[in-house]
Amino acid sequence: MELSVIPLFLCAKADRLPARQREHTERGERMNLKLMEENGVLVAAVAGEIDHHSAVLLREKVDRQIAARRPRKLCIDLSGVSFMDSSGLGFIMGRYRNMAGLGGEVSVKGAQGRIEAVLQMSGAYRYVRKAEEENT
Amino acid sequence: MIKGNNSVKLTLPAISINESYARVAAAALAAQADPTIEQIADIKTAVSEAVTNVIVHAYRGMPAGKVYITMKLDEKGIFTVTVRDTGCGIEDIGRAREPCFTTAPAEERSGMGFSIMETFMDSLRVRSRPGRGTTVTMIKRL
Repeated sequence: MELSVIPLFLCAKADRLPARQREHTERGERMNLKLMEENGVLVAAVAGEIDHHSAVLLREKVDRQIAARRPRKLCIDLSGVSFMDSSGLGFIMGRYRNMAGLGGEVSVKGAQGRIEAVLQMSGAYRYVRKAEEENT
Repeated sequence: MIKGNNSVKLTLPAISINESYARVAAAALAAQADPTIEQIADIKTAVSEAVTNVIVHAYRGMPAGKVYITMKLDEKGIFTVTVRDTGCGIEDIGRAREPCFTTAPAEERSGMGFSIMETFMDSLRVRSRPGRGTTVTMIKRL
């Protein structure tokens, strides 16, 4: 079930746009978030760039769904992410702490190139599971 | 491609929307040396880390100041970027450079910024004076 497609910019204004337009509106922001839930697994598919600026909104949106739905697992899908710095690590580890507090777990999939290098060098995979592309 | 002398100076308000502006500007200058995609990704990530540090830490508890960025590309393809602020400075640079050390855990800072700059660039130098500001200089050979 798809919960929402949220362009992370001026959300109040975006809410007044038709869905199709919302999905493609950027207005200076470089990231979109798509949230889906299936069998207790919340999938957060991020597309675009994760930096300190975009991570703040990303965190709010994902945490709201975690609080509302209490999923067993959170899968962060980075396959659509073209850039991520240590703010993305902060986002992933923050969700790990939140989910661990609820007795849940976090997996990450789809990291490529320097994004995967950042995850590897930080030791993030000691805490979050690396999921195969087809799984969560 | 001929690698020419070129340089850019940027002064930006230290606000988060300028993180992407800074790294894209750095990538645009570095691109003149015909780098690999990986080298461009390294520069973008390192510059983003340095600028984010200024935005998150340098002007804490005071009005947001400016981030001063100087970038140079020489004829040998050596890309040098300096990110400077006039903020609070760093008390203990050695500690700040340790992996996973952060003074802002509540803001979900991972403490990996300097480690990433060090890994992705060929050299990293950090100079700071408490109360006066910090200058980070990074070099990448393209």
